[in-house]
Amino acid sequence: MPGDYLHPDTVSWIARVAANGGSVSRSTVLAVNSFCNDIDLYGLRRRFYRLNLLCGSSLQSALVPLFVSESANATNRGFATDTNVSFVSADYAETGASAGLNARVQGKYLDTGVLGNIFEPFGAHLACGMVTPEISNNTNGFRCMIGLYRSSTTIAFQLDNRRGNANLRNAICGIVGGASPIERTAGGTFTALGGAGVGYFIASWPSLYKNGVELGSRSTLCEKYSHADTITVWTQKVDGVANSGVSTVATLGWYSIGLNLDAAQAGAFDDALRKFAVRMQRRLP
Amino acid sequence: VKLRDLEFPVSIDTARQYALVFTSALAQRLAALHALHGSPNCVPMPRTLTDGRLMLCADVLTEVEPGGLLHAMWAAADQQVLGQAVEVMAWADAVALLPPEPPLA
Repeated sequence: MPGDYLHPDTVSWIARVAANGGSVSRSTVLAVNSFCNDIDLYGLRRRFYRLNLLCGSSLQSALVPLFVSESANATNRGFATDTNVSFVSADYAETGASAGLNARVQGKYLDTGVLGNIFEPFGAHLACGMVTPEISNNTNGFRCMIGLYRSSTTIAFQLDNRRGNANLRNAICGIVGGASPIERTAGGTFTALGGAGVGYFIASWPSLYKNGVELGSRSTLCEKYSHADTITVWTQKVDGVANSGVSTVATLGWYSIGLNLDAAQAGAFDDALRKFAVRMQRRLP
Repeated sequence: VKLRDLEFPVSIDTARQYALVFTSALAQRLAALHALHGSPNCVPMPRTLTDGRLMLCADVLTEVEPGGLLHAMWAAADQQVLGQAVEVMAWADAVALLPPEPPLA
């Protein structure tokens, strides 16, 4: 892009996309660059260990996260590109109301390579933007968008969309983070949060944000997720193995993994995401 | 219906109506083939059915043509063997053979 100043993260992303066999249009470069500038402006850059806006001209492009570490000089958190399990090119759309990566059926997910045990209690966030609702109910009312679980210890580090009934199916875009996103599931869940008739996230940790607004919080026992399992998106890993039986059947437009976000930071992140969605002609939450 | 009975290239709309069903032994051979000729850009991961066989959405067939993410793997495969060994099943029929969804975690 001769004559344009590009953010170093944008330059890095373009190069990594090309190395993965993908390409990026000028309009996407400008949208990504503005997003990078917004994240800097809000002072959020070091909160992100990994962030993928799922954009670019092809699936190969979309598999390259914009951020793969908390700064340009830091060691990569996770794989160089997201490992694509069973998505095909036709599942991906860059722009429009359904832009993102659509699982369509269970069993499709991305493996980020980010280890769950690098985070401390009270110190992490998981987030994703859900563009379309689930297309069907799980009989247990539970599907997982991102995260990890250990059955032997009942320790979860995940974001899921536990639903009480079939009416709760609307598109949602959420940011999860806050004070203590790693804790025992035995501490209870956010089942009372969210409104009837609107989609909502349930997460088994103390703070939950939807569309940049905190839905609720609680302060119960937290402990470190101590296993070297890599975090998957569209599903959870259970005991180190991806659990396709609870994978989300929906389109996700982005995800991020990083340090915890307070309410102001979650709101600022949401603002940056909304601006990006407008520039990309994507659906707003 | 066997894989050999499908007409290639398979359109995405057609492919999404079917599942590819095969034995675990064949799955292991396919995984080995992917290790040699595939990439992290597309890793087909079959799900286990209650009868012990494995199944994949047939949409992966849209990636086997030249330029597709699985073309190199497809080109290196013994397509005659695959065509005979892989069963093509209606998607709904294959889903009915999946194990019950796990309890809340």
